[in-house]
Amino acid sequence: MIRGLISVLIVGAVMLAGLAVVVKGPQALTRYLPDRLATAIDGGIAGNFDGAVKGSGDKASDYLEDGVDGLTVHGPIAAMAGNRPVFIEDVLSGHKTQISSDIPAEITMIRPISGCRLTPPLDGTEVGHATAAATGLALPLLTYNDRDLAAGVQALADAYRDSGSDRISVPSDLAFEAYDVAVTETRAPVYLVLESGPGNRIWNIHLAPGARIERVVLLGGTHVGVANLDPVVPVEVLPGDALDACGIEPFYPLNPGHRFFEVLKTGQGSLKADAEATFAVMQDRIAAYDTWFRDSFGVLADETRVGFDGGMVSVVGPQPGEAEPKAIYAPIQGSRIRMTQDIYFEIRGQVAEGEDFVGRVRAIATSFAFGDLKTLRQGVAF
Amino acid sequence: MLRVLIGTGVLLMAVGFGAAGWQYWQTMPSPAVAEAAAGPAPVVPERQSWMISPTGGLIPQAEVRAYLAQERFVPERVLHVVRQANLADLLAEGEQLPEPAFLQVLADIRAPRMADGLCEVLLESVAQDCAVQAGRVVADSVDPVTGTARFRLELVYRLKESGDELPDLAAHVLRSELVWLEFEPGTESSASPDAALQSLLASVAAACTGEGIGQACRPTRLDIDWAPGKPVSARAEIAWLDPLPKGMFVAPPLDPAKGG
Repeated sequence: MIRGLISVLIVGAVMLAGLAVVVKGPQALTRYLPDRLATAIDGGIAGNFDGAVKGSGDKASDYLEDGVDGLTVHGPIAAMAGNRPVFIEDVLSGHKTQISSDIPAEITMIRPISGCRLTPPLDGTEVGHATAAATGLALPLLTYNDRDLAAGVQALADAYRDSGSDRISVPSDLAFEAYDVAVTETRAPVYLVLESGPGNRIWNIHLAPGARIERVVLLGGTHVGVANLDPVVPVEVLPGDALDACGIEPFYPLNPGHRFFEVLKTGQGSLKADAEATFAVMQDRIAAYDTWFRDSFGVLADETRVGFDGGMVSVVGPQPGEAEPKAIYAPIQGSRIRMTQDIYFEIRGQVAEGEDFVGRVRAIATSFAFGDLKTLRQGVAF
Repeated sequence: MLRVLIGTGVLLMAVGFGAAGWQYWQTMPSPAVAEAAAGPAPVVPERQSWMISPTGGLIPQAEVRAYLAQERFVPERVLHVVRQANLADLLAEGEQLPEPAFLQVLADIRAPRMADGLCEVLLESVAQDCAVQAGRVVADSVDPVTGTARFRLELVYRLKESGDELPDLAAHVLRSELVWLEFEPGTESSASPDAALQSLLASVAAACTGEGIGQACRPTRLDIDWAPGKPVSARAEIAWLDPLPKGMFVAPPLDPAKGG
């Protein structure tokens, strides 16, 4: 009797878990898994089972691929000085990737600086320079403007015309993605330069005991912010469009395995000549950015850059030994965030009915369609 | 116990398949919308489904449909209009234009309104039935400064029955010709897209009674490009039947016509 009951419970649990995955996606399960396993699943990395992992998987370098699209991470590794890979658990304790429902306790809106000149580091401070690409660690924070809403209305109109579907999906690029920065430098205050490409980004700062931050500069990105930073630490923002306006173009050497070098090496005729010309232009751009970076922060961008093209953690400072403490993970949940925002800002699940992106798009579309979305359908049957 | 186990399994399967079915159903177009778009089922008469050209070649099925299939709308018998209009014309009474970011999508959603009047012109002259097939704003044509945009409209129509039976199609060839017109700014025909269409249809009627035009002359495709204060370009394709040229004998195609 008892065995039968247990069987029923097991079958039921498996079926319900399957149903949850179908309805809510993998997040329905991974949030209940241990962080290490969830990290592997979320990152699509699955540790040793991933074919892209080299060797036995015992060394951090086994998880870093010098690929045709850049330096790509295939496991729980962080970037250290010189873009050396290191296991996240060796530099940051308590790291987690289940942050899609983490709600900060306090959000303060900040604005980009006016002009192009940033406050330079003080003498005696260490400059830490982290770069971030997409991490896939979406936060429940969205920001958007009228252009995004108009694009949403157009997408709804197109879908309704095609299929009669009135579903509205929130574009993924409206959400902020998190990127973790572990600061293990304790010998001197750290001046952090955090640089990202297009997209909305929250830099989550994790300090080792004794680490101090002098100032944070956020470069690039569409809208950016910083979490878990002492409120007294100044933050300066020069987002992507401001960099453009200032004539500053972040540019770095490509990794040796990049497809460009294949063309440079094996291309023939005009293809090779074009590649060589492009290579020369790239060198100029790298040098120009290095010059601006050195003038602004006293160090070269290329030399100090810490961050892979794919990855979610950068480490500023040395790798902690057995005696030194690691950086301690500070969750987004309940954190303080300072961030730039667009016209509209929302926290998923914490917005009044009709006041979220979906509600706004539906209301605008319905209004444009004279109160009836059915009028969006066009055409006759042939 | 076994019954409970099986029952639970069946129940959970029902939930699982039910969820999948529900998701599928959610992505289906609403029946009311599909029905409205479909309209009543057309009555398709039996007829010869192929026609030949004066040189003896088979006429493409799209052209045959545009000429012959008057019992229903066909995509090839169409009036294309590209026109400029004031965005304010899209608004209901008392309504205001939205922020500039929304002008493009507003114009796109309400573009079919710009076809108002065109069907009336067609129905007053040659058409038995007319419908707006598509109305879209031309990409990046919205000018927030002048408050205008360009629209691309597509209307399909069926011609009025002339009362005369078509002659034996196997003994005739289908010929076609383009009627090109340009209306100078300031003329009556360039006053509006409706006026341009009226003039185009009048020219079609004149062309169909012209010298060298055979039996059952019909317009198939009409195009108008209209903007205020600019020359209006209008074009019509007309088709008619001529007797088989002397010495030509027709052997019907053995294969079924494609797309007929």
